Amino acid sequence: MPTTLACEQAVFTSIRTPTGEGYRIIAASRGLKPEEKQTITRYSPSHDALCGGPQGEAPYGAAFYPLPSGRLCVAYSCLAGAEHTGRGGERVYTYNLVFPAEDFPSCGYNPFAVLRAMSRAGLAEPQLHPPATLPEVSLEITEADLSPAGAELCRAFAAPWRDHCLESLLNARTLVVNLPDRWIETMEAMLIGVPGPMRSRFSFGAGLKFSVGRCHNLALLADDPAATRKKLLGRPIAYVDPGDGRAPNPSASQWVSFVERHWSRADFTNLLPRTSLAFSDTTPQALERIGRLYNETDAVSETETGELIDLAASHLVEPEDGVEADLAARLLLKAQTAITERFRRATWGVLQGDWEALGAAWRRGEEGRLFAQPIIETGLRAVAARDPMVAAEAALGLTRNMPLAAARAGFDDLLDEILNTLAAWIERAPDDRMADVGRLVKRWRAARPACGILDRIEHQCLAGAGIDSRG
Amino acid sequence: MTTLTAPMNLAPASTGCLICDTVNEPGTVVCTTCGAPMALVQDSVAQERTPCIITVIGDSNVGKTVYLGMLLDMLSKRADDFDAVPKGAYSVNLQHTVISYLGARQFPPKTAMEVDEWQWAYYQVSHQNHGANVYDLVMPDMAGEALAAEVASPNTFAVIRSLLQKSAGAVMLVDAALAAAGSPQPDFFALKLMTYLDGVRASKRNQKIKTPVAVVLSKADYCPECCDSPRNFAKTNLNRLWNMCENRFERFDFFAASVVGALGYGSDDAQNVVPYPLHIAPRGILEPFEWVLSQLGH
Repeated sequence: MPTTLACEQAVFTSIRTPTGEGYRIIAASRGLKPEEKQTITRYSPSHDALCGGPQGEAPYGAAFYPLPSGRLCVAYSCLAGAEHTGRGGERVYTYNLVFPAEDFPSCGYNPFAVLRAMSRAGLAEPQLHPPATLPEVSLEITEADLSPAGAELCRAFAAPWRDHCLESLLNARTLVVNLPDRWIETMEAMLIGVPGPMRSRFSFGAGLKFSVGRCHNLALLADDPAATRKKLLGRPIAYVDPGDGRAPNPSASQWVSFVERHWSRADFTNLLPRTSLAFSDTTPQALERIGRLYNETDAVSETETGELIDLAASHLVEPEDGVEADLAARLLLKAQTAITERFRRATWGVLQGDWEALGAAWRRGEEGRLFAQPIIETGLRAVAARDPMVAAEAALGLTRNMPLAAARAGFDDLLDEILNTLAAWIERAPDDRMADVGRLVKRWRAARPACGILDRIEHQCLAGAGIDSRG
Repeated sequence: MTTLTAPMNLAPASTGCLICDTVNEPGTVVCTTCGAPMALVQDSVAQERTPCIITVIGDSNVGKTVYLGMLLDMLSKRADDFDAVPKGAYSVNLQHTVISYLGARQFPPKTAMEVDEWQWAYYQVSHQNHGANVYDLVMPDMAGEALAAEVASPNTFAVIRSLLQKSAGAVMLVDAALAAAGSPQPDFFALKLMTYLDGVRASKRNQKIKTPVAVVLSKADYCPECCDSPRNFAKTNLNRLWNMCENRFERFDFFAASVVGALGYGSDDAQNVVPYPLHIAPRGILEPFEWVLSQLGH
C-alpha cells in the first residue's frame, strides 16, 4: 500500500552566491535543526569524493545515517557540471531527505525505497539555483519503491566475504569494503540482510571515498587500498578487500546462513519481507534463534519426519513471543503440513517409527495436540484404509492418557470411525484373523467398556467362528 | 593553516594528537578525533619542543593553498635568509603540488572539505639574522568551506577549533580583488572569522586579544593600490574588519600579497571563467610570516 513520507530537504553542493562560495548547504527546509545541518555538512562528500563510475558511467553515491535529533537522513550524490572556480574537477551535488525514524517501518525499513521514490519524484536531479528555503516534501512511496528491484550483489563480493561482512555488521563492527563497482546495488542487498529494526541505527556510504569524518558502519567503495588502509590504522574499522588476500572462514551464524541462502539465489524479493519484520529483540542471541527458525522452516521438505516431530516438540516448549512466536507457528504449520502429506501416502511400516514420538507431542499440552492431532487423524485413516487391524491397534495406543481437549475436538468420533472400518473389514476378513480380532477387542474393552461398535465386532467375530452369541 | 613551534625546550611526554590532544592507539596514522596526521606528533616529539601554533585561515577560493605552497617553497629556497627543513617527506607534498601546477600554468585543484584530504607540512624554520631561534612550523592546507562551516556552526569541524585554541598567532587571507570590486563578502567573512577567533581566544570581554593576526590581502595583483598602503585599503574596503581588529585585537597588521604576475582567461565546458597563471611573481609572501614571528617574542 503506498505511503506518504513527510520529509525535510537539504541540498549540499558548491556554488557561488552573493553570501559565499564553496561547498555548503545551499538550500534547506526551515524545519532542519542546526545540529542536523552540522551532521549533513560533515557527512556530505565534497570535491573529488565520489568513486569513479563503473565502465565510464558518471560517478554517483548514496548514504544513510541517523541524525543527532533521532531523525534519519537519506542522501544521493552525483556530479553536477564543472566546479565553478575553474580549478578543475567536477562539482559534487548531494540531495538529502530527512524524515522521522517512526516512519521508517512504513518504508519497509529500507532507505533505498526512499531513494527510489526520491528519484521518481525528480528530487535527486541537480538544481544549482534552488531557493534558499525549501518546502517540506510529501514523498509518496509506492509498492514498486518498496520492492528491492535495485538490489544486486557485486560479482567480486563472493559468499565468504559478504557473509563475513554481514556477521561483522551484526556484531556492531565497522567495515570498509573495497569493491570494483555496483556499490549502491550491493549496499541494498547487504542492507536487506540486516534485521529491519536494526537498520534505523545503521549508517552506510556507497560509492563515496572513505573519510575519517564520514565514518559509516559500512562503506562500499573503490579507492586506493593502500591510502584507505593507512587512514584506518589504529581505528576500530576493518578493511575488507575481496580481491586481495585469503577468504575468511565460512560463517557459523544461523542468521547469516539464512540470508546467504537467499543471496546466493539473488532472491531479494523474498528475503526483504523476512528480514523486515518488527523484531523486538535483535541481540545476537535472538538473531541466532530467528535465523534457526528460518533455516528450519526452509528445510522442512528435506527433513526426516522424526526430526521434524522432535523439532516441533522443541518449539512447543520454547517461550517464544512476538515475531519469534509467529515464525515458530509458521514452522509448526509447515512441518504439520509436510508430515500430514507424508502420512497420507505412507504405510504403517513407515509411520510406525514416528508414531510414539507423535503421540508424545500430541499429549504435550494444547499446542502439542493442535500440532499432532491432524497428523494422527490423517495417519490413522491412511492406515485404516490399508489395514484396519493395524489402525485399530495404533488407535488403541492413543486412548491411554488421551488429552481431554482431543475428545472434545472429535477424536472419539475418529476412533469410532476406525472401529467401524474394522467392523466392516471383518465381514470379508479371513477366518484365521478372528482370534486376533477377538484379542484386540478385549483390549479395546478396557478402554471403552460400553461401546456399541465393539459389541458389533464381537458379534461378528463369534458368528465367524460359528458360535451363537446369544447362547 | 600554519603552526609554529617555539623553542621552549620542553620535552612532550604525551603521545596525544598535536592538535586536539586525543591519545590514539599506537600505529594510528590519522588522529581519530580531528584527522590530523599522527606523524606530526612523532616529529614534534623528536624535536623536544612544545608547539605554539600560527593558523592560516580564509574563505574558500581566497588563495590559501597557493599562498602556503609558495611560502613553504620560498622558505625552503632560503628566501630572505630563512632556512627551512621539512620534517618528513609528506611535508613537501603541498609545495610540490602548488609549484607543479603553477609551473604548468594552472592553479592547484580545490582542497576537499574532508579533513583527511588536507595536506599537512611540518618544517623546521630558522632565520640566519635572528640568532639561534628555530621554529617548528606545522601547517595543514585547510578547505575554506570547512572553516566557513565551523564559523557558522561551531564544532562542525573540531580540528579547526582545536587549532585556533592552540594558535599563538594567525594569518588571515582576504580576497583583495573581490573587496576592491565592491563585494562586501570578503569583509563579512573576515569579520566572522575574527569574531570566531575572538570567541575562541577571549578570556575576558573587556580585554583585547593578544594573539597577533596578520591580515593578508591576497590577489593583490588585481588591485595594485592595496600594495601601496594595505592599511588604507583595509580601512576603505574592509571597514568592518578594520573596526573589529581595532576594537578587539591588540596586535594586528595588514599586508598585500600576490603570487602570479599575469593571468590569462579561458572558459570550461560549463562556461565558467578559468584563470590561467601565465607567470609566477611572488610578492609580499614572506612579510606577514616574518611579522608574526616577530610578534611571538613579545
